[in-house]
Amino acid sequence: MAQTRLPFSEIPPLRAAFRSVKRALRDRHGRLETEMATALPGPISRPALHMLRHITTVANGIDGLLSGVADRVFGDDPQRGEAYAPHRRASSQAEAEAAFPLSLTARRLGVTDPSGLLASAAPAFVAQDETIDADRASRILLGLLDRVGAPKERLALFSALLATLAARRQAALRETLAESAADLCAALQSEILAALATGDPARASLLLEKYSAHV
Amino acid sequence: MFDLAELVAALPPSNQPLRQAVRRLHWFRAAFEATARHCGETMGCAFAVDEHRLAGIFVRWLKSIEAQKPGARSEREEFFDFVPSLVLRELIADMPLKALCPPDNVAGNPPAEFWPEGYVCTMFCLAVHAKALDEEFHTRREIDRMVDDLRSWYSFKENAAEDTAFAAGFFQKLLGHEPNWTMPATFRARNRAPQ
Repeated sequence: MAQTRLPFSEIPPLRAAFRSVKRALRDRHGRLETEMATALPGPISRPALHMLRHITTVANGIDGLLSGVADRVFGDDPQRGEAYAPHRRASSQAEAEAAFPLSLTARRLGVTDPSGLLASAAPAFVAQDETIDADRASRILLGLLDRVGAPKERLALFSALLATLAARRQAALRETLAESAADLCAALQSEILAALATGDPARASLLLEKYSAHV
Repeated sequence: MFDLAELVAALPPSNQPLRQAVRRLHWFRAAFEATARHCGETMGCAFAVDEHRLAGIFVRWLKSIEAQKPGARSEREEFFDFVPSLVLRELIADMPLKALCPPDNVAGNPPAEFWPEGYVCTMFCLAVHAKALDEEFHTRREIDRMVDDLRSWYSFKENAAEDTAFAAGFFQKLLGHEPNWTMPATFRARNRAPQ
């Protein structure tokens, strides 16, 4: 079906409205997390945390959906400037979604052109879900290393998987976990790169398990 | 010194026990930034935080905990008292804070005026320690009066510039312990309290 574009004059205010919906979503999620943590006693806050984890998933989905809808309806955003969303060039929605943490860690770690990295990794990342564990993450990682040789790109891959594993343990926005994982990996780069250079899945798995508790 | 209860209240909330939350970089960073913001508002100055440097500090601190953690459960509470002194050592060794202007509201607080960055880092360690100790052992430590003594801070800054392990000893003094000044950042070498 042919896509129709809105008249340009109507686009900026609509984009602004979309942005404010996204901002409100993020603000309210943050406030909800804080209120649950402070208002509820320990035993009650555990099921609440479980619920928040689902809300986080939904919030992340809605956030991505709003961005996708805005792009499809409005076309390129002239105000976006140098906004960074290379994952949107992925071949399917599932790949774009899966590559999102990797696009964040690649940016944080200063990967100059992440398009090759994302193209190589996105299909492997699609297979991830909430049941991912360190062993599986390690297999994904090592399976990609023959195509990903640059140290920063390897660290970006490692930290994206670390952020995914960390999301199993705590309810936090993906952006927060991805940034934190990337910074952690930058500080641990000699240890991580040395482990990856051996190609030993058990060693990579141990590191992923150990440091996912510290994201 | 600043009101410790206010410093504790400024820490971000967490669903996890603080001993776990503080070993997650994103909470550690949020807590450090919250303390810097709170102290900055009280002192009348703003601080810039170097996030990458803070990540390096966090990792070195984790590794010192890993290397020094005692096996015996009976030493757990003592180790709790000791661990923040290792954070302070790392913070002082690679200062991640920079005051963006001289503080203009520190008339009654000479240590904060003398060394704003060192003061904020120490307050961060005291706040996290106080909250963790309350959660785990339902107890609190009296902070030694030297915290308000400018001469102690002068000595702290000067000695830590030569050997950052001195920062760990300074923190233990603040908690009322007499450090082993030969190896103040080594838990096994600490002076044990008389039985």
